[in-house]
Amino acid sequence: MQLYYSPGACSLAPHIVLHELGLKHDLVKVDGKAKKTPDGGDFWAVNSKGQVPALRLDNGEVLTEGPVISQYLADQQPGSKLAPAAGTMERYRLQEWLNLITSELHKGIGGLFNPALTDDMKKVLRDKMDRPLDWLEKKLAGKSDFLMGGQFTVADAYLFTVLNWTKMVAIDLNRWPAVKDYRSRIGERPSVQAAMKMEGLIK
Amino acid sequence: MLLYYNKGGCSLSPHIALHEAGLPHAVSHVDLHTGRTADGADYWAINPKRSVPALRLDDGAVLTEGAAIVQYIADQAPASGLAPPAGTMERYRVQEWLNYVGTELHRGFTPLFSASIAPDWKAMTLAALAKKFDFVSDRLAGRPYLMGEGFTVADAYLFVILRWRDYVVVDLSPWPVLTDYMARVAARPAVRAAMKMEGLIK
Repeated sequence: MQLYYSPGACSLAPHIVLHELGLKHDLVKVDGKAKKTPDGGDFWAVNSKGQVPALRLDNGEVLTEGPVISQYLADQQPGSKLAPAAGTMERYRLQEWLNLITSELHKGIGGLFNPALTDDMKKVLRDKMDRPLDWLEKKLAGKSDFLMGGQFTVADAYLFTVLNWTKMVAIDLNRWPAVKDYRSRIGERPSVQAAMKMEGLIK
Repeated sequence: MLLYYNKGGCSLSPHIALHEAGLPHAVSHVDLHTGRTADGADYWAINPKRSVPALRLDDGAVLTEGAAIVQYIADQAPASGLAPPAGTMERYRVQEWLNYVGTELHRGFTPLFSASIAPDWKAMTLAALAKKFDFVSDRLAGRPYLMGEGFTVADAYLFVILRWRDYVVVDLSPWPVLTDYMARVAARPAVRAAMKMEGLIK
């Protein structure tokens, strides 16, 4: 398998999942602006949406959309419990989390990277993040474990990845201490450290 | 099952899925300003995320997030073909569409609903949406539905979001593939039934 990624982008989530699972994989770094791979290849030809992550499977097929890639990877190794079995209520609960993270947090926080936004627009968008972050704070407060309980899942890899962007877009997580604490905790996992090191995000 | 919905909102997608699946269900309208259901219940207590849709299952559990709800519904009626079986490559492909519609189109439309949106922001939002319409139009060319011949929950979601063109005045006419698609989906009996229930058509 080959994971197309850009350092620190949302592709970090499936990258963490690959390390959690110990699955053999290659990494292909994508220049997000030029949409080129290191060998000069056209990334648009890999993923016509032009976005990372994309996962090339061993049969050549390309899978896109982070939450889908992560679920696919988890399903390759059911014993890992990174995603509950398909068809169980717990799997739908995982999908609830993935959908909340992708639509509210990823799009909300990630949207602030748009260089075309004026300061006024950024303020409006930043204020809109209070509601989902307040809600997340309530869900995480007083808990020392993971989104789904005692088990780390692909949703944690994803949430960590988007929470990592807050500093870069001037969202101060000190207002949400349980969220901040959660991010630190997940950041210490060996799989997270390994993936971040590979992407050149930490030494 | 009981579906909490807001007229014409993204909750129309699971509403269509329930009709397509032929599953017995009831619906309850939510006023998203007051947080009350039609019968006066406190919706914020039912879904603290304060959004629709939410689906109350027969055992009392409440499921939220449209993309999760529609997959749950489809899995209750596997013969409907609304979602391919879990674990198949086709199922991941449906999930790709659900995620794309949710993040790029659903979230792409959202700023247009703000009454105070500045004109330059609106222009930027419409330009970004146009690129997404190009992509979806390319993928739909020559096929009736996103996955090919069969209607899936991804179509229900895409239809509902593109339908918002009527609320925020987005002109789809430069994408005839999309306007044809909208007419095709709108003509489905299950889609008509759900829309009638919500008072969107007569």
